[in-house]
Amino acid sequence: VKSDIPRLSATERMILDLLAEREMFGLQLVEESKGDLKRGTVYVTLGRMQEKGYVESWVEAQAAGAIGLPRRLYRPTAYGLSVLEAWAVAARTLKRRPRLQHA
Amino acid sequence: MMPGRLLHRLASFLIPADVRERVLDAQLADFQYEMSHLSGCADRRLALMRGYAAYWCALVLCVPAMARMAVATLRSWTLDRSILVVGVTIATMLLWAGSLSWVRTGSVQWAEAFGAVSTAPMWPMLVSMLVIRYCSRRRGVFGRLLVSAVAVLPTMFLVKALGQLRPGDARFEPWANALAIMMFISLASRVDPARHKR
Repeated sequence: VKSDIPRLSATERMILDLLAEREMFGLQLVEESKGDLKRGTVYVTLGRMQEKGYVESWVEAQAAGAIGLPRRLYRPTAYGLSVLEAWAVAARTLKRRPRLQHA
Repeated sequence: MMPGRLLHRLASFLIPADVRERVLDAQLADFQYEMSHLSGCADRRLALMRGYAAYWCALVLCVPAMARMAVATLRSWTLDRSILVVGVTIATMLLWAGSLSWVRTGSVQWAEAFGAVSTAPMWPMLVSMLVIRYCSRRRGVFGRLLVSAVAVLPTMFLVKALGQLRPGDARFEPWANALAIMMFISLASRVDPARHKR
């Protein structure tokens, strides 16, 4: 059954957690995650999150005479943060569930 | 020289613009930034290897996104465009098979066309797709067909003359077809649907 509830994978949660602190580049996210995020996949995940509306990005302004491609900065959207908050609440609620007593 | 320039060009040919800008260009930009801020030879070598590995990984992961876009684009094609592409494909296959049999036996055997559809690499068809895309400013089905035919025929003979990617050559066939399918997806997804709406 396809539900309309927004999904948030563990990687997406980690990225939103990191971006909630400050806006970052993709490579910074990899470094800040201490190896949990990989260089090869983080940009694809960020692209997917952007499609879902969880993060927004913009290209950094380059100084005159700078060579190379301009870097892309990411920050969470209000929607992304509310999804993260909702998942955190759900996780806390489900954690509190009492264990079943077996007879 | 800044690393990744060739990869950037490759991506701009293969990958739809929005996916490329969001994913691959972002990765390459960080890779170039990292390279420009490293001084040690060993560090630079390590960063280079990691950067290239990450790029190819990201490129492979972009394929589903490309496929999604291709499907969305194909859905938005107009009837005349669909007829044109299917027609050019069939005509190319028939010409390909016919010309091959003519080279071998001196007579055209159209029955070979059915085999060619399933086995021949689709390079001439891709050329026609490319031509249709870049000549889409030319109005009218016949104008585009004419341009495609003019582009396809020399390509067919060139490919055949090189003798590398011919039907039945088991060494190249799977690779050629896989690459051709990727290029087809890429070309199909690069067409701007708004431009072709009537």
